[in-house]
Amino acid sequence: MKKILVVDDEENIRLLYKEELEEEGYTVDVAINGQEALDKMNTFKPDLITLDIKMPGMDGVETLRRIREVQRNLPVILCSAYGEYKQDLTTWASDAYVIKTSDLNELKGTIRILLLND
Amino acid sequence: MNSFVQRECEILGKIIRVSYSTLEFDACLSRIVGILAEAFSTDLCALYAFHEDSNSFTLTASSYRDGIEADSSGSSRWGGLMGKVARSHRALFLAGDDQPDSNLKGMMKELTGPFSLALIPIADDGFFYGILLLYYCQPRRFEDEEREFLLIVGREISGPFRSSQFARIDATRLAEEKDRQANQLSLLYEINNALLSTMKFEQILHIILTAITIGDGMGFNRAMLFLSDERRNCLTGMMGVGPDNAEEAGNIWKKFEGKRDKLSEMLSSLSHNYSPKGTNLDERVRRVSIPLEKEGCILVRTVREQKPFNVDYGRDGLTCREDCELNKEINCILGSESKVDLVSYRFATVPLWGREGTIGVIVVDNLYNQRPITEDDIQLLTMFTRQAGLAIENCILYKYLTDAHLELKATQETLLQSEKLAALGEMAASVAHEIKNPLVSIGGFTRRLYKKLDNGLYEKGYAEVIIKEVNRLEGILNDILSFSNASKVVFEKFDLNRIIEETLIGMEDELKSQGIEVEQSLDSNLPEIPCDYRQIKQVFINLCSNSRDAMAGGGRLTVKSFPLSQEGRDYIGIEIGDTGGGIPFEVLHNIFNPFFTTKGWGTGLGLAICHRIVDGHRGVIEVDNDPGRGVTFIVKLPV
Ligand SMILES: Nc1ncnc2c1ncn2[C@@H]1O[C@H](COP(=O)(O)OP(=O)(O)OP(=O)(O)O)[C@@H](O)[C@H]1O
Ligand SMILES: [Mg+2]
Repeated sequence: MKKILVVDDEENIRLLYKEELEEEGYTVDVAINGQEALDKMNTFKPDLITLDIKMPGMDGVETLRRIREVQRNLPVILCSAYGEYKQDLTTWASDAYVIKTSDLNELKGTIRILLLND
Repeated sequence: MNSFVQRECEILGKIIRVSYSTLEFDACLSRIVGILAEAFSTDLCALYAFHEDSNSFTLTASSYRDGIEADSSGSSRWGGLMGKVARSHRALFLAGDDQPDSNLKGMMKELTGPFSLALIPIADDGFFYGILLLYYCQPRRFEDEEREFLLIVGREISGPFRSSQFARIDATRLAEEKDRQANQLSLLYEINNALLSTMKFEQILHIILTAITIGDGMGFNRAMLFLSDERRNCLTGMMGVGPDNAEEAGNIWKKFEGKRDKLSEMLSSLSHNYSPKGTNLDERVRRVSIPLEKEGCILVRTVREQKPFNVDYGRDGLTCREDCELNKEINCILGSESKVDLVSYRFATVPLWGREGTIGVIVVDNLYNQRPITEDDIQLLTMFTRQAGLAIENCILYKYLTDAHLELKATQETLLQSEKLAALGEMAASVAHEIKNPLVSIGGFTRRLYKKLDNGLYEKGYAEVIIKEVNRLEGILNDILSFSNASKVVFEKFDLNRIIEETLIGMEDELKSQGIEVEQSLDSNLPEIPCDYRQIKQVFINLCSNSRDAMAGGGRLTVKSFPLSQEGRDYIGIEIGDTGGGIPFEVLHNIFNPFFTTKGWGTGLGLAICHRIVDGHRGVIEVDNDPGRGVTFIVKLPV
């Protein structure tokens, strides 16, 4: 069973993602900020991480850079309210970039593809 | 013989003395008549003055014996004879016993009884002033010496006649001159009034040229105006006013005859509803462009030497005939269809003065009635063109000013517009961002709820409503966010045709279901250009969606791509046109404003987003609106 780590500062979003992804058959854990996410990489050992960009303190972009330092090939999906950081990310190369909507089908599809490739 | 000569000399001496005395004209003549009556012992001696204009005589002095009826008109008895003298300038003698010439017989019917008379022309150098009459109730022979002497007297008397006539001519001339000057002044005043009534360039030119050509104005047949174009270093034809042929000329002159008091009114009204455009002359004049280096050209000389020319084609033997622009275009001002004798063709040119030197030239001619152009004409025209030049110059300055002002206003507006948009974008983005997450939660959980509810439960319907509304809100938020993000572009090289095709494929179904036919003509040789794929696609989607909305009842969507060059830069143009009836004029200026919509369901951000995105790509978006038919949006992106 694949493990997914959901990183988001908003509780409701975390809850929504967790429930929806569990329903898809994944094991899901959550982190409320970048630091917790880095910690949980070692304990939870996720196969994929969804990362909110806009978080207080260490934001998604910075977190992604730190994740890459530890684990070069771990699939990471960046989620944002809109395309605010798209320009920076062309150099940062995340694995995918998803704009948040209440319809999670796009996110689920992206996860499926990334995990398949794995 | 000798005594006769001596007597003659005495008489002549008396006459000459009287002639050169300071006596008034009438008194002088009375004396002369008296001298002659006595010397020749006439029954009646009289002087008649001739009036050329009315071709008649008046009795100016007479002396007669008692019993002879004075004939004050003279012409009633001897009119026929006097006319003959007036025409031939030759004396006429009737001796009574002579058989009168047969051709005099008819004239003499009334003259009954024996009488004799002499009718002596008072003339010199071909000028005929009047007649001296000597009349006798009996037959009397006129000796040769007498005849000769009388002729000398006739010539001598012409002196006082001549000076009196000069005096009279001078007086009339003076009066005429005054009249003319007054007329000219009022004419200039009228024209000036008309010129003040407008600031429109074409109208000013038209008033000027009409004033020159109108019969009650300066009355030239045709007038043409050229202005110097300093940038191109040439004289450019601006306007020509004048009939295209003699027949038309006649009609026009008749129409305007005697409307002088309304001249200014007429001039300004004329210009509102009539323009010389479309007349042959005007079209030709507008084609003329004469390089200012062409020193032989009379127009160029007028401008350079700053003085008028009155040209007689035959006399002046112009050197500019061969390669003259005017010759080519207007057949040197001659209407090509009129058969005018080149030898007698005349025209005049006057410079148009501005504040600092000449700004152009006016050319006039009398092609149709061949009236000679006098120095007076030129003088009046010159006076007029001084005013006209200033009026034109004012008008040009005014035009520059208005243009500059308009440009400034436009720039200011675009500046304001983009500033407004930027501020709005910032704000919208931060608000949207705050709303986005809660919306995702609401929508996301409602979807979960929806999935959990059994089919058929009416609560499931409620959930569905929430999902739909959240979708709508998310749509609006996306619009707002992509609007505020439009300036952040991710440039990569893309084939615009591919983006268009993908857009159309994505919309294929909805277009088809609405009965919209798609016509594509994409230039396959276009280069790839750096652009933000998502943004450009968004532009096409927005434009096509608008067209789709406009063609609810079906229609045709035309999509084209083509290369284009503008102001030295290469662009790719994309046209998206529809048959949806176009945009009403009243709303056209608003369509690019954010949140402007005429649709109940629209956000009004579609075009605002397009505008921002295209701006961010340093391109332009234009509207070609055909109200009632449809509208075409043109996007130009730099290569
Ligand atoms: N192709 C068209 N034909 C007729 N009217 C048009 C067309 N395109 C735009 N308009 C007019 O311009 C207005 C503004 O268009 P715009 O795309 O900015 O907003 P919208 O379509 O009303 O809303 P939105 O695109 O945000 O859903 C429209 O409401 C419509 O009145
Ligand atoms: Mg729209």
